[in-house]
Amino acid sequence: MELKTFKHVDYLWDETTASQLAGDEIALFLYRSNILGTDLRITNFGGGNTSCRTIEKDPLTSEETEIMWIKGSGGNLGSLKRDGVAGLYVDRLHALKNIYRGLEFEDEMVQLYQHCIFDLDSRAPSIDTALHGLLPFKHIDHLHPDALIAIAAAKNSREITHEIWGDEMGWVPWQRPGFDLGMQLEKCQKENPGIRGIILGGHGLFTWGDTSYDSYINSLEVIEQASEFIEEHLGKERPVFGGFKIDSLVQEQRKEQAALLAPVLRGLTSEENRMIGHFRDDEVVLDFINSHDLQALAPLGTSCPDHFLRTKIKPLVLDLAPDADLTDSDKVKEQLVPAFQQYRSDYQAYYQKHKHADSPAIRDANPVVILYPGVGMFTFAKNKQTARVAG
Amino acid sequence: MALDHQEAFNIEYWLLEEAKLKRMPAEKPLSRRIAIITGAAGGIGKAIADKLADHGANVVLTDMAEDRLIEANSSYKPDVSSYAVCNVSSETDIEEAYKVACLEFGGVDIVVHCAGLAISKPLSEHSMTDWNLLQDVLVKGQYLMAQKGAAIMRKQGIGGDMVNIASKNGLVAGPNNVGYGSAKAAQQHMTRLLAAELASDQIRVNTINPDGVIIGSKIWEGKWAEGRAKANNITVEELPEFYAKRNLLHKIILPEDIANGVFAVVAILDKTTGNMINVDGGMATAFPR
Repeated sequence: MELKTFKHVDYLWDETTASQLAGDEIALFLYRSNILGTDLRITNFGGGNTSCRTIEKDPLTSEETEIMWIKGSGGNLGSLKRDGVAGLYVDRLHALKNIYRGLEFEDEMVQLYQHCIFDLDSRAPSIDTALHGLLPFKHIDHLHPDALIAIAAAKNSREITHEIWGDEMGWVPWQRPGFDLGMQLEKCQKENPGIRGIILGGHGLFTWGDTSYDSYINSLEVIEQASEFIEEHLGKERPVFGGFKIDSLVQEQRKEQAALLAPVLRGLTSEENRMIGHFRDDEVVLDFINSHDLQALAPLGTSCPDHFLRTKIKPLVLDLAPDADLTDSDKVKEQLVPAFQQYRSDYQAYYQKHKHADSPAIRDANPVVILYPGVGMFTFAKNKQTARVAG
Repeated sequence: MALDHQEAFNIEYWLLEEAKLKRMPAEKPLSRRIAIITGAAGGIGKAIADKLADHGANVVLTDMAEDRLIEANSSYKPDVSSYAVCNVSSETDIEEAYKVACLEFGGVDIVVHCAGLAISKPLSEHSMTDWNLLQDVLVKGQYLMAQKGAAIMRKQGIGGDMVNIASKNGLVAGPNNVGYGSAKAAQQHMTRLLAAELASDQIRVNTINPDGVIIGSKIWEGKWAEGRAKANNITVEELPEFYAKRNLLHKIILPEDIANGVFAVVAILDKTTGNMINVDGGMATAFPR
């Protein structure tokens, strides 16, 4: 086998490990999922899902039937095991097209996935089940790679997709995952039978292959190509994020300031529920929070739905000099409280404006991501892992 | 390009997403809380950290020896613990340890002062070095942990807990124990003083008094155990049984029992402050009155 080299993703396929799994398509699909989930540039924690198909004997008819095995709802690719998977009849998933009533009735389809279950020990099928189920491939990856999100969320996403991959890549506009999006993917692939994958505007990537290895390589190559494109174009027309507006403190001072401020911020974000914090001040974070574009970009929030579910729609940017005197915490608090109040009332207004009759009650209105230009990024959530992932 | 707000809302408050949130396992009694524990690389301190972490807390372990701290820290799953090398008689060490708690987890909610050592000598043989060491680690350590910890708790404004691990010997005038017993009594009274002072910030301060924890306790690894065995005319191996027979319930007291005491005052007895709980199998001479 030709050994591939990649610069922007980790190639982790180990032929010795894989050869021991030969012939067991489910084991190979789990292996692929685990190594994909290990590299957080390939997909965010808990994000994305993978699937494979096998032929099994239907216990009622004894006839051979195609079964799709897909990551269950709420799991994480890096640690996916056999018990985190759902097994569904492919023909029944296709039969759902006959009773699908339209976009307003998306939610009822999730209940109907239960009727398509083959493996009685299945995990609850993912909301993305139809996205995999209606495509005709043995192994499928649905990932949210950083590089692909950048392209999927770009204003001219469709054109960039064509520029990079020509006719080899499909593109469908942003739509909330559901049965209809599944039918759009099916249509896109049928109309363009030669494509190697599909980009979902504002969302992520679908790639596939005949074998688990083919699917793995296809995903890695597409992410590599996207990363190369971004690298080539980064900062060409104008500096990334408009260049630096302010300079960072040196690391020791950043930590000093962050340690002084963290308890104050924790107190403010714990107004409704006690929170656990996380702090980052690496280059990637500083490039953004020190930039000219911060004030313009931050209110836009994140572009990928899977990301913003963890980060809330926008971060809170602190109006505080990097070297501000933080020793008097009462004074600091006094200075920060209005910004927190504003954030909470903005969130309440967002909820009131957009809620439906059957919407769940409003959730915690406090910011999750707090940016301190020149110092770093704080994130607060119900536990360390969630806070870390939000960052 | 960002999502349209209505579309964003529809995802954030999607009924299926809500169902997913509802399926999440229930939170543990100490989840969302951050504990710092001195003397946590082994023995009673590690047992306390284990107990608090088992019940959902994030733990910051502090101790003198980095290798033992690294080993203790590696016994937890990711995102649960952190550590700081810390001599509790050093103000800067304690400040650095709290800095770790603030940077790693955002602050602190629970301070457990468990670092300790025991020296048993008659007055005539007691040296200034012995006296200063006991005062430094047990009394000054507790004072500094409380002072720096309370400052962070006040910044957060969401209350907090302090638990001081003292000893039966702070209540009972045992033989040849002038330095240790005085320091333990100082710890106990400091608990009451701090409980009174910090109550307005919803910071509760309580004492746990262990006695006769032999198995797993570092104090008993050294000369202390030999001394105790010799004083009582038995072998070191016979000590656990010997100590069990001394208490009313005839129980061997383990580090986990002390950890249960800490858990009780932190997670269950949430209207108790300035109090002490003996975890000693029952000692009539140590009944507080």
